[in-house]
Amino acid sequence: MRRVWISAAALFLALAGGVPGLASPVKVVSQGPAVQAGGEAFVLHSEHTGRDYLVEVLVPTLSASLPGQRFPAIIALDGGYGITGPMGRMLVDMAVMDPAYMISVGYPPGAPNGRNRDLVHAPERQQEGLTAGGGGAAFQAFLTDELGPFLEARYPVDAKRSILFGHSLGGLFAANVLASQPNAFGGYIIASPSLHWDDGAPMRLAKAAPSGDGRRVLIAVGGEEPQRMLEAADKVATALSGPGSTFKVQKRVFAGENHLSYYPAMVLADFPQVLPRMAPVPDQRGAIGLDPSTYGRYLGAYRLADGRTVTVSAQGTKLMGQLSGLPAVELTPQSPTRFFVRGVDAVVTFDDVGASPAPALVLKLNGAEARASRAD
Amino acid sequence: MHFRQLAFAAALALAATAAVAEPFSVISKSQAKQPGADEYLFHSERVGQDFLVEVTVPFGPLVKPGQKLPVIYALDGGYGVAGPLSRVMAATSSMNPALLVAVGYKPSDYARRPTDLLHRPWTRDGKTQGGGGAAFEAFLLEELKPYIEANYPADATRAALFGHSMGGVFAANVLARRPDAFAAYVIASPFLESDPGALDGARTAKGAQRIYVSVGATEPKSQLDAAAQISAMLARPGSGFAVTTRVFEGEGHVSYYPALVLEAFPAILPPPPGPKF
Repeated sequence: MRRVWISAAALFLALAGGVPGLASPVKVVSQGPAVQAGGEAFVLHSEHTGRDYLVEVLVPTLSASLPGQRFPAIIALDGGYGITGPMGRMLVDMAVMDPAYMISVGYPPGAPNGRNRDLVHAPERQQEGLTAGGGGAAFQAFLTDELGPFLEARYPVDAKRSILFGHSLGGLFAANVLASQPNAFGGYIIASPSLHWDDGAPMRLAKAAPSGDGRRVLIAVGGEEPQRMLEAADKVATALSGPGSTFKVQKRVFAGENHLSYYPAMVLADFPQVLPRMAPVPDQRGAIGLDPSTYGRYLGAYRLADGRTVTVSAQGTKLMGQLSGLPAVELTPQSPTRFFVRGVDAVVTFDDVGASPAPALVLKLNGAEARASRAD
Repeated sequence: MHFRQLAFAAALALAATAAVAEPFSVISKSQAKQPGADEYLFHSERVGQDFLVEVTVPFGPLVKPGQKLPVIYALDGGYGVAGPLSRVMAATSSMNPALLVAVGYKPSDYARRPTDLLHRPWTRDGKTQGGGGAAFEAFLLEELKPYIEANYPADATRAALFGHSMGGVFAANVLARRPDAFAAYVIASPFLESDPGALDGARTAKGAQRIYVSVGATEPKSQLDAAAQISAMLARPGSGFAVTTRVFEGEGHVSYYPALVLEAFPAILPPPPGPKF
């Protein structure tokens, strides 16, 4: 009996010791809640609503701003369901849409979810077992008077050009912001608006229609949603599309999808529509071959007006450029002095003076332009 | 606008820009968290290096006690979107709830990617990379997968491997070398130029796995051909594989990635037989 026992123990030890081909225990170096790279989260207290909000900011990873340049943000309500931030940022990083900051507004974990109050402007009432209403105006003031300036103080964000994106009660809220203060945002995404909480909204939207000034409004709904939701999307679209409307309205019905299921596909479809590329991607054909020995005069560091540097270096036969805080990228020659970055709206043009080293360069980035003078 | 409103607006603007003065209270500031996800830094004995792994778990109510979930192993950290998307898709009944294990690197280790993803050495511009694919494969199958199965409600028989670009080549090589390692494979825009040998593997591979091959229609011809060839070989009569090939119209090498997740995840992991939720 004892011999069998020892043999079994020996066998167990042999197996646990990591016989080749069997599982070996992996070492956990560290562990914790997953964080979003390049993201910051704030809990902000609003004087207007008296509530706290969890505001998450995702900074475009690969986009750079030139001195003084500001980007719009996409403000997603209901915390963007946890996906608008990462998806929006990926769309920006792939240059499918213009650079924008992704802002998600929700409630801190553990705090009561105040959406029923915050997202409805109409007076509080009960309907179908839910109580909602009364807080929309105050929440709107939080967004425009508190959050907007907060973002502009901390990030190169232009709040007035930002997009308000709401779904369901959030869609109703976005519609009411548009109706009461069309210039509060640069564009609106209104998804499956819960008009049954505020059937006066279409009339107010129609009144605001002449004040669009070219702003884009994207309306979305799932094809399998209940009839009243399909009609709500229609009513919003119609109210903003009458003669005299200066909004650019697009309505999209996601065939076969329900109230929630179309949400990711809508982000993919609508974000590049609501913030299309402002400048066309420049012509990136016509790469020429250059003798790398001519790169010598370009190498070194050049300083932008805000102190950041563009560092030009050689890697084998390649010329590389690196803007402070971003990875180095290859500069592909289009002429002896003009280089572009593949797949990105970035062009570097060195001063075409015989001087060696080159005294300065001009950096064109996403439609804006800045000069950088040699720093070394 | 009233003068008073103008003055107030000006005062507010000044307050906002003056040395980050807050016009209202910031109660706390932290890193933005990924909901429903744990992040690990694992040290692999097989590779001798660390990997940053993010495990996304479906919303609680979707997982019944004792239930085991399929697992999708996404390379390149799922580009930061595969995890959150899978969570929302499961919550909106667009796919069967699954664990999403996104395998990537600390930013400072990113240069190791070609070494880990390529089974065979690859020389370009006089520089040779790759050759660590077998060790990385061992990390996934012998170290990571057992850890996931021991610490999460994971169904070992329903694991899928999802790779894009060089990750697609890696997935193709695993499929050729040991198809039974996973129940399904998503091979997206395989960058076969970095390992033409992966095609030879596809030529003779056999199994019953579901395979999803995708490419963007505006990718270079070499990429379109690579996807077509690998599909053709895996779908040849007698291979046994269930192959879906998808060309994303108007899309480039990376731009279709989120749309791919929305399509491929429900396709490769159909719900188990029996009553649905």
